[in-house]
Amino acid sequence: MFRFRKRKNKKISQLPSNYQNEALSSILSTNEQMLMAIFQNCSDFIIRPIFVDGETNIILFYLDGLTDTKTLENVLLKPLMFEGIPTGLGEVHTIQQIIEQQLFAVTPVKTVSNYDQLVDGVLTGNVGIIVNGETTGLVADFKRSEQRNIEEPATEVTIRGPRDGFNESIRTNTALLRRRILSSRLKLESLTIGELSKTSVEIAYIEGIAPENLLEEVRSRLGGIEIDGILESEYIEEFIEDNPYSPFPQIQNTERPDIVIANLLEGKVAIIVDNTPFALIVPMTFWNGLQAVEDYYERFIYTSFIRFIRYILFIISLFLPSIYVALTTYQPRLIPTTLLISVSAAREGVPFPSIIEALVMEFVFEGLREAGIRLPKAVGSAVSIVGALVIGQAAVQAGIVSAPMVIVVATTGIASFAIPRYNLGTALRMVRFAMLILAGIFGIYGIVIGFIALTIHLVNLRSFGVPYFSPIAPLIPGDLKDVLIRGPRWTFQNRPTFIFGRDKQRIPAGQKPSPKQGRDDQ
Amino acid sequence: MKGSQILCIGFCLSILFISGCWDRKELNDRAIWLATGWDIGENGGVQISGQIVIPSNIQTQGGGGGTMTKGFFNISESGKDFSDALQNLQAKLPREAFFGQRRVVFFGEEFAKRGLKAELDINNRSPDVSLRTDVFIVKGSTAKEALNLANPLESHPAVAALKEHEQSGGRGDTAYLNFLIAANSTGFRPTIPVIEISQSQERKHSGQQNSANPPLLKIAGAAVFDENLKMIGRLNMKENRHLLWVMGLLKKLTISIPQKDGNASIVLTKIDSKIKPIISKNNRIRFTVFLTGEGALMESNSGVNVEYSKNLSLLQKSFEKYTQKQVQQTVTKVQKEYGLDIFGLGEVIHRKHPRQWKTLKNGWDKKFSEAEITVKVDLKIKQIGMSGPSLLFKESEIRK
Repeated sequence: MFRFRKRKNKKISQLPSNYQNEALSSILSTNEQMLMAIFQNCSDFIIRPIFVDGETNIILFYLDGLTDTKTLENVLLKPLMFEGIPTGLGEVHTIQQIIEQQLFAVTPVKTVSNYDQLVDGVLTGNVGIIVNGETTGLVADFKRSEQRNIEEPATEVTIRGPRDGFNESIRTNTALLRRRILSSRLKLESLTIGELSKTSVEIAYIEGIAPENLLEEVRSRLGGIEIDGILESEYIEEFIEDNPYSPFPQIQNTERPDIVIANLLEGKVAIIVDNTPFALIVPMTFWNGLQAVEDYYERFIYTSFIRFIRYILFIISLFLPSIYVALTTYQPRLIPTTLLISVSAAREGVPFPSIIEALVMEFVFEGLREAGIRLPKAVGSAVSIVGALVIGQAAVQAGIVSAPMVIVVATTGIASFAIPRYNLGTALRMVRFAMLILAGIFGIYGIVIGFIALTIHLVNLRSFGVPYFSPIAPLIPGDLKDVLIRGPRWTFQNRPTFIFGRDKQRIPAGQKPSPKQGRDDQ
Repeated sequence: MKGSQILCIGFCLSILFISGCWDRKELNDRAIWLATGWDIGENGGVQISGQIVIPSNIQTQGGGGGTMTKGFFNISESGKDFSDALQNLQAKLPREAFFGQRRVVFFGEEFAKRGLKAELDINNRSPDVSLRTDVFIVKGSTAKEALNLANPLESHPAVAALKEHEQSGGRGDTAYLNFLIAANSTGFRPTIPVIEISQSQERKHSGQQNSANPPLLKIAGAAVFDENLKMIGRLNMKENRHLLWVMGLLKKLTISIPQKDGNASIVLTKIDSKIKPIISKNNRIRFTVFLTGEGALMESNSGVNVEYSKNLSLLQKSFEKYTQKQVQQTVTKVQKEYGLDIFGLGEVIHRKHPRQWKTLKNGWDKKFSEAEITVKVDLKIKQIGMSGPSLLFKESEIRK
């Protein structure tokens, strides 16, 4: 490690130690030498001298693959090489001025005066241009990056609703947002994080709706990050979370621009990171984890019903195996007689205590799930067949595992998949194991103790200062219509008050549709 | 700080290993005890019988077919008291007896006549047992015998007895609780449902257990207990229903009355009772018992067209009159024959006139047998079924 660092330092030491701030030289060859030294051993660095008036007057340089060479050729090279330097309208122009003002019609051009700016510009995909005899260079935007098409996000599928999702290009992503809010109040604050990766990050919010103190907090937390590189928004998430040791996610992530916009309209702030389709949304509440996009794209009666089902499934996914273990081993009195008799009939001959049985089955289930995700799609189906056959049937028939346990584990598995936010589901899975062990040791008391501890933890969590359980705890009655149920849209007159913003009203009152209204108008 | 944290985690982890799982017991290590039978044992002790589920004989998967094997077996042993007997019994039971699902308790008739007061504490003291238990006196036999009668429909005879009890409109699994309440109060004498060993077909000697005419358990009234919880006498099924009606516990009742040209029957489903005590100045006690019921006309074998409200109210009247007479008879029989307040009328006074009750409660049974009890019945026929008059009558025979 130490040795490596030493060698690296040696290499750079060929360059002047503080080349970054050094101004460009007026001698072209010095600049060229310098650039060659900076980009030593970078095979994608292309440097191209252009002869104008019989001598090397201009040097173009860029990184191959990041630059649109075709446009470059049409716009810059052809006019310069074939037509020569255009004669000005009388005033004496430097070549640079000519290039800047006459050749590039649309392309943004920036004038730079030191190496640092020049190098940075080239690294982000621009073309650098230096001219003999001048101490400033040009950075022209000919960016062309390879990117995925806009596709439907695989992690958040809907039946009804927009089908576009973010891709890995931050510009495309911000464009998707901008397309939805045609107002200058949608602000995108840009910053760069990462010593080496220099990843661009955008803070998106709607001015006046997002509270100022939240924005300040986001800015300061993002500003404090020092890291070599950022490959995914998760890197950032871990730096700005309120409680890093909690298994529960405190920052929402999404691939869908419509979710981002919906949250911005509620006064939240989104953080969009380059090179990943996952945007972060702060603050997140526990209930966000149980809300799906579709809740807002289907009629409210149905979605309220679905939410109830989801809450019940949530409880099942957390407690069912532990309740089963606790009841059968500690409190069999509480099971109805006939059910108890059939459970005990099914358990007859099973060699393991039910807590071990439950742990093993849960373990195997988690293994199957993990294997299913990691394997290539073609093999993935084979895993599920083997899993269903081996665990579902063979284990029961062999009398190693009881059938009720398989039912319990399968139900729990299904229930945990019904939770819309994947990372909340994973948190629950871990907590479920803890609950299972508590139930195996203390029975129902263990579950109650676990539940109390879990509730205390959840109520204590904060996400950017907003209590994780709001608006249930602390109770904000006005905001409940989007928690346990999904109220009709015309009742969402105000933005959620647990995120305080200035612009509170969302929908003017009195928009409940009724046929009578129409008759009066006519 | 760091040290205390480690210590704290250490304590928490140690719970995992030192707790020892006190009452953890797998289902496979428990013998699910469905019913208890109490009989007189050797040397004046008790003989405890138990009905235990055989889980591996319970079919969990469909198909299979083959001969049905019994899902239970019975076990019994004597001892000085229940715990002693249980200790003796556990010697032949490979799994620990688990009483949490005990649904039914049977008492042999002889045992009940000996008195229950000094025996039953185990049923309430142990945290494991449930008070929601059905309880029966086995008429003319022992509890052990009653447990042996397999029911062709239910895999466990104890459950069968409980279900029969519920079907007949009786107390069901609140019977034991009811008994305890009565045993505990001064103005209420306990009764316990009676069950008898009968046969599937009437007036025919019952065959083998798996023949078409197996012996069965049959609900057969109620046993009357005195203050010392000794069984004194028995009410038959009809009187038992009247008793339950007055107590307000009856859930279902069919009344059939003889009519001039054919019987009529109603099934009452909404049944209630209200008792009004009147204490006059010279401490003469009078009770008025209002019995109400609503139900459907099941049979009307006469030519009366009940579509006419006049006819219906006439029919209603005759049901009321008949019922009033019957219930009054039962009440008088209880007053004269047993002189024990099994209706809980004393408790009604206790609730309504707590001051007077203080003087009345001494020797209440005597006062009860001298009290004047009037029964009033109010019945309503809410549904008359699919036809007005019986379809078996010609147009000319129908009375409108």
